[in-house]
Amino acid sequence: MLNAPSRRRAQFKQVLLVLAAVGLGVSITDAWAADAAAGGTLFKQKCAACHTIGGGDTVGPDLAGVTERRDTAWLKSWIADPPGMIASGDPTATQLKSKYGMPMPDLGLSEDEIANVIAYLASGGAGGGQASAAGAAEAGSTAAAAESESTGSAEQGERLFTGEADFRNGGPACSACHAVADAGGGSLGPDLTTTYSRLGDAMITWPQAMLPMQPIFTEDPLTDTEKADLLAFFKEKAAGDDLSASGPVAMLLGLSIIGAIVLAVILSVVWKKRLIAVREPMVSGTNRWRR
Amino acid sequence: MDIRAQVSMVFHLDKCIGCHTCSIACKNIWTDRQGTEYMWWNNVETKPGTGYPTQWEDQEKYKGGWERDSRGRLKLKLQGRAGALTNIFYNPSLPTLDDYYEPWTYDYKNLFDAPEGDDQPTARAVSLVTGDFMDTLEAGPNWDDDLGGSEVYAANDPNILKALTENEQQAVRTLEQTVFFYLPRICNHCLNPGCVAACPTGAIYKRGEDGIVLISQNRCRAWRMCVSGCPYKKTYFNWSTGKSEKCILCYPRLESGQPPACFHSCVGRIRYIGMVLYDADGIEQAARSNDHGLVDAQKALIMDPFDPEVIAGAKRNGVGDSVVAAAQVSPVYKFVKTWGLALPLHPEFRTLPMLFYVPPLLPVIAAIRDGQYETTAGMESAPADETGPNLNTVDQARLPLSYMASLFTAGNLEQMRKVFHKMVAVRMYMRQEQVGDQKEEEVEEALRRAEFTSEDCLRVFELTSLPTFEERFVVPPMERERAMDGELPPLDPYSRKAAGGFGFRDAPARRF
Repeated sequence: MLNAPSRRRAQFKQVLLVLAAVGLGVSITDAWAADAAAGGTLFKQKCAACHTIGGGDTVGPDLAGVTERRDTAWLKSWIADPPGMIASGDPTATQLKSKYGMPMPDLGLSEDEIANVIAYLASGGAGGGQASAAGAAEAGSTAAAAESESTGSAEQGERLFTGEADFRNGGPACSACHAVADAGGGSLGPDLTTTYSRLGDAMITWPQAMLPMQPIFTEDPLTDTEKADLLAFFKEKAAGDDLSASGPVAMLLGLSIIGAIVLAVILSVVWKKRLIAVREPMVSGTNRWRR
Repeated sequence: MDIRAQVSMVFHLDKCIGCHTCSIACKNIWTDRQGTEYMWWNNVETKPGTGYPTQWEDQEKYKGGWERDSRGRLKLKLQGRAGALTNIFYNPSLPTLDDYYEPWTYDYKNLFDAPEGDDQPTARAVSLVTGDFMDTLEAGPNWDDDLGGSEVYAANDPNILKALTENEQQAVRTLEQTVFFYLPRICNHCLNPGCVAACPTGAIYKRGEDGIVLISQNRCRAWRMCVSGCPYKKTYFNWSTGKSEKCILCYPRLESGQPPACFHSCVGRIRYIGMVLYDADGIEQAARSNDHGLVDAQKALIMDPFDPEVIAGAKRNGVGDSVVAAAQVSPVYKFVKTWGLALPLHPEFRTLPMLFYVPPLLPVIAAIRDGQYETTAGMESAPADETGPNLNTVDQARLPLSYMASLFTAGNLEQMRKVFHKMVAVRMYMRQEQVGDQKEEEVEEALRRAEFTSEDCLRVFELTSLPTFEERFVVPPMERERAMDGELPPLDPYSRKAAGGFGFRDAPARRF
């Protein structure tokens, strides 16, 4: 038999459940008005680079149940114009930015597309059917996916990165814009040496999801093999950079101190004779007349 | 020929009594401001001694002036162009404040405000740089005055160390032979100034109309290369304004017809100022001469102001009639060119200094004879009752000739001896004229040796002993902005007195 307080708590839970069910129902009903399947495709293209549904936080937050956490109107304006929201000082937006360390980019989605994406999110990733499954897989957020893709060849990845080997569909080499330690490359885009340790396998979805790369690599997509090769290459680079990853600040500090000491030694030798007083050594010196 | 005018100077060292009135006159007018306390644009040194700043003559330490490279070309001893660039933020050859001295005043207020106590109140020394009390004073601008501390200071005189043999040094330090003289120094306003060449900013210039070397207080950027570049250490860094400063030869006074303050105030009347005309085309050649030829080469630059060709050349360069007229009665021209009595200080620095010195005819060797201190007793040829100069005076001087040659002729002993022979000839001749105790034939021999006529001796005597104010200071009327040819009426001395005082000030921009 339950005692009185326990019973009351059980009743309270039931009430909550009912309320939640009603709320969910309302939102689902509302969301179904949009096309969740189209939303799934969009999610795969635009969102999956940084977000998962039920796969845990990666670059951005896990979006499972986001439609329950956030009010739909807020979601719409957030997806439509994240920088604007942050600039306007919206507390949630500001908090998200500081939590994940970077702002969500403006994805350039139309109002209908936003509605579709929200519908897809409300469906918990199911409405997209196959698309969502594929998206989840390509997002590389699960251990299995990471395992399967780590079979790529890092050597081939490096050749692809530097442009020594061409992408099969003719996309431009990564090094045109990006650099990686030792391999070099351009400075238009960010340095990708340690990106793998931050984003994991998800980084490979960026070419087809992120502006300004998105239009290029949607037209000339990477093949699965190429993606696997590139990932293997990035993984290797990120691992090779682990030494400094242990503390870039400590290393910088150490180098500065050593550098300062070396410099001080060199200067003290080169400028040894600077500002050596004349009077004082002369007066205390030995060259004086004595009887 | 590129004839230009230079205001030039002669200091007659035999007349200097070492009173420092010149230094005080200068200090009171120009360097009583914050940041200039340690500066002495005019200073008086005792020789032998190390001077101010300490051992300034030792260019191995201070790297001032010029030297010739292996191909005979002139280069600054301080650095070449590459060195100037690499050292621009790091001037390697500067005197420290300690090499000048830490300037101080005294806490005079304590003499009046001290509470009643057992001891007489004292005025303690207070540093003018830090404002702290200074318990021991270890250096001053004339710390070695009158051979004070000579076992350190005279002993380390670079001329003694460089030019005298060990025996000569030994002789100099024996008491009976001890001797000193004074060497007043201001900026030499050189024809080939090291400070101008060393300045990376081009802030230092030699004024066109009278050759006065000035530092633009607007353009100076405090690199302090001029401080290193000047072998006479006559540019100074003002730590308060962050600009370098130097003797301006009182050009505001010159422009209003007065001699510079140190000249005007000189008690011994040792100073002469006058215009000379020189050929600027020959400067480089002269500065590249051999050490022993430097003085003659520099003298050759100074042209005869009566030569019509020289006057025409001067006119072509805009030198006015009044300046030419002043050059024709210049006492400097007489001492340097006509009589050849005045010599530049340390010509081997190759800056062609335009301040000339008549060297001091020091007392001859003294000795103790019959318990008496006899100034002439050391001379074998001199009978006991004879005083005054004679033919042996030069070679019996208490300071070896090589010391004087190290100061004034870059080591050329013959040149130095010649100048002393002339001075001895004048003295012997005048003594014979006025006292009559000289031997006729010795006076004649002295004149012949000096290549002087009796007329020359009289003129030298007059300009040395009896000159008027106007004979010592021949400053032409200089209307700085408008004309130099004397067509303007004489200037009211006070009309040129600036309201803002010395310093750099720009007039405020006015809209209406």
